[in-house]
Amino acid sequence: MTLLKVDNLTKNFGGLTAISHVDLEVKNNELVGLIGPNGAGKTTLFNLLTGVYAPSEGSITFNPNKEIHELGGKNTSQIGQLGIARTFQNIRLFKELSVLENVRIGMHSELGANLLQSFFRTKEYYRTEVEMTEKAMELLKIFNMEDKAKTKASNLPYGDQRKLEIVRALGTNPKLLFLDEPAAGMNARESHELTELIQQIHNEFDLAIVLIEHDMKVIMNISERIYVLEYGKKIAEGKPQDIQRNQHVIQAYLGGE
Amino acid sequence: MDTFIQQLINGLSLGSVYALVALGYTMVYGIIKLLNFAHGDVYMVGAFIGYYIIANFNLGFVPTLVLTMLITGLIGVFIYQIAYRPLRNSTRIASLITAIGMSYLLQNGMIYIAGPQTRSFPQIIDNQMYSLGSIRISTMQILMLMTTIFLMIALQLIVQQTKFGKAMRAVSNDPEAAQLMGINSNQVISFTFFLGSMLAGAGGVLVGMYYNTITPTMGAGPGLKAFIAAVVGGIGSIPGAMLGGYLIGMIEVVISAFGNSMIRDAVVYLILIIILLVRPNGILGKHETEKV
Amino acid sequence: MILMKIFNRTNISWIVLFILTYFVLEGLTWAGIIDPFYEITVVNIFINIILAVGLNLIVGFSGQLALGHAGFMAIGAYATGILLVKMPSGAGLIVSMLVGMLVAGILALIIGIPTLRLKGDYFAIATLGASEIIRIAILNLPDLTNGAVGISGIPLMVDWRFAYFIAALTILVVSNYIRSSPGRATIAVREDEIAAESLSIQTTYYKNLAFLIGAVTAVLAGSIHASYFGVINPGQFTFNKSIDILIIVVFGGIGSVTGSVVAAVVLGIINVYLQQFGALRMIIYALVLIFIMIFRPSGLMGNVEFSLSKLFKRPQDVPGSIENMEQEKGA
Repeated sequence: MTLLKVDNLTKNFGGLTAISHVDLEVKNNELVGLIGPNGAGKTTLFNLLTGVYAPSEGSITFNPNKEIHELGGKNTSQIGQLGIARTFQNIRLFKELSVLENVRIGMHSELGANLLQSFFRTKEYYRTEVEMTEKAMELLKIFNMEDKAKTKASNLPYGDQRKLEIVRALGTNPKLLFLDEPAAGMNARESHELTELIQQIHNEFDLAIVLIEHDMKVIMNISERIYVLEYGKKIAEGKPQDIQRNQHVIQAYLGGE
Repeated sequence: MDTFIQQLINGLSLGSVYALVALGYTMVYGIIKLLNFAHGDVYMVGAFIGYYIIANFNLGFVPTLVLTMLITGLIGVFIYQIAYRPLRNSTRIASLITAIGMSYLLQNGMIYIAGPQTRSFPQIIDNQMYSLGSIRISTMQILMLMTTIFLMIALQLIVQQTKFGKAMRAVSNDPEAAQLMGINSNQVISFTFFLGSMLAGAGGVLVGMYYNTITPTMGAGPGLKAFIAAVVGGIGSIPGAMLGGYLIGMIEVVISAFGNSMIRDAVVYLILIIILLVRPNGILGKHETEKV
Repeated sequence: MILMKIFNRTNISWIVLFILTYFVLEGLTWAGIIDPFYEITVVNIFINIILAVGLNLIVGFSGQLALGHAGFMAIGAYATGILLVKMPSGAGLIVSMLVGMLVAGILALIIGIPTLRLKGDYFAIATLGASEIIRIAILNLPDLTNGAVGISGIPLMVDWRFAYFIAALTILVVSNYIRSSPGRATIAVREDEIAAESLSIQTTYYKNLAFLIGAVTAVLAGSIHASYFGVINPGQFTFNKSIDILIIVVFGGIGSVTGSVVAAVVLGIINVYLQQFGALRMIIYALVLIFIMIFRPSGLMGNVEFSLSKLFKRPQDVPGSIENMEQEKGA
């Protein structure tokens, strides 16, 4: 079943066309790769799909539970509430807060107490706090970070910061997760470990993942399908082995005629 | 119609002063994003310096103005160096509180030195009235307009043509990149404070001459008005500050003349809020987006 | 459950602390150490605590600079001043507070909804403008407010106990809020708006909410002011008053409720002490302000909170209670 369908999506910034007539599709529980040279528009595409930018043209439909939503024109938090979460290329953690607090913030809209409960600390408030904390600890455990729950986010090593962004996004209980270069800046061992984690999430959670990554080894290993962007246009799509042989893609990456 | 033109002339005179003070707000905000609430008090200090120069040395208009501007400019640099520079890497709100502290210090320091009473500003020009039909304009008003326009043209030339001006624009665009290009940002910011405070000093002298009176608390009101003028024009934009200054000056004078002078300030603040709602970046301000 | 117990214990401990402080104050009054002159200082401190804690929620926790807190205080003071003269009773006081809260709340939303969408200092400037408009409106409605002269002879319905109760309630509600899920969402907005939005947090809603709560608490402070001192005039609610409150917040530490309380007390005492310096008073005050900002820009407490559970903590009370988190932040 199709979870996300993008038709003819276009984004202009003034005279510059950052994304041009892109179509793509993500099915339930699929793991899709998104690649392309620097400046191809990958992050812009994520920003369009998560409501950071409004599309200039085209439609984005999201179908999480037999109910079709048009995402164009919705803002980021509305899109988040429908079940889409993301991480950021330039890590955006709540740096002054602890790891656990970062994750619990992600759970707010689903599990959080309401205002009166929190002003006066009613029984319900305690129940929600405990539930969130337990759930957050479970998620952190998957990423081997439960012993760092109390560490301030800005004090985490770089690799853990990237991992924490993923945990935080998972805390929102998404149906669709966008990962923007999760392995960027990691060494070979860390990046291998992360690949396994992403695969594990993909297997254990009921969600689809779209992954932007420059590390070809990572992307070819775990993606079921791959889309390739260049200069804001989709130049190829298909299974990893097909993409590896696609002349157009090779040219885009190596340059030349 | 004639009354209207008459009020327009009065408004332009008052607006000139707001514009001069607003320029300092806008330049400092443009370069270090500081709401420099001490700026209105720098303008007051300028008026007092002008007063003491005339009282002690009996100089004419031009030497008094130039000397006042230089001294006020240096005071501005001194304030930046001792109070704001140490805070360049801390939060913006800490700098804001420091600016407020500086405003209190200047105002109360002046009360301590000169006393809280109102002083009359010595007359150094022969103020005559010229009539054009029923429209009247005084020597002082002409002088105010001419001086302000001259200073603004000079400022534009400095900002657009000189090396320092280019460095100023570079630092305000991207302080880190400017630093990497070998621009000494501290020097550039000092220079910005120098220019801004000089203009405020000029405003102080002109207002002293125009209204004939000065007090240590004279900076608070016009300081806020000039700040509003800078915001209405588009904070960070030099032409915006000029436009905003003249606009606020004119609105004030017209409301005082045709309506109730009690609600004058309320209308000015209302215009501020309307501008913020309709065009939050001000009339000539630029829109900025954050990179994700 | 262990976690549940820690949470409950903290709440009760706070209330015990408030009651103990109350009896200490009662004792000091009884013994005559707090005489009528010092009582004025004490009530002023409570009023400033209410104002600063409320403003800290806006400035420190939601991260939005507000420069017009005195405007909301004025609304509270005038609501009570006007209504209490007509209905001099306890019920009149409560009604006047509710009316003030309603007016201030509506006004806060009128200012907040359009400007809190925007990035930058627009909100700060709009709050400054709005509070000046409130003051000028008071000046220009002499039939209702008696103009520049102000209202005197307001029935004195409030004593220091009432002021203490409201201050304690404000502290309790605000500190409960910031340690709750909506409160964390508010802090997330301050930390990184774009990330918060990506986690389904409606950032404008939480900014407006913080502003609304802050505005409403300022009304309470204004009502207490009116009915304790009995005299109000527009000159008490100028831009400088807003700045004084902001100074308490920054001096105590942006994002620390404890800091706001400590700073209100410390500055209240310093103020009494500085009276003897006469004309030099404001100069010393200004210099102290500048020095503190240069040498301790994050305020007395930074963003650290006093935490009662620290005192009651047992080693097995891990993992992940909020209170344990708070200690970690301080470490």
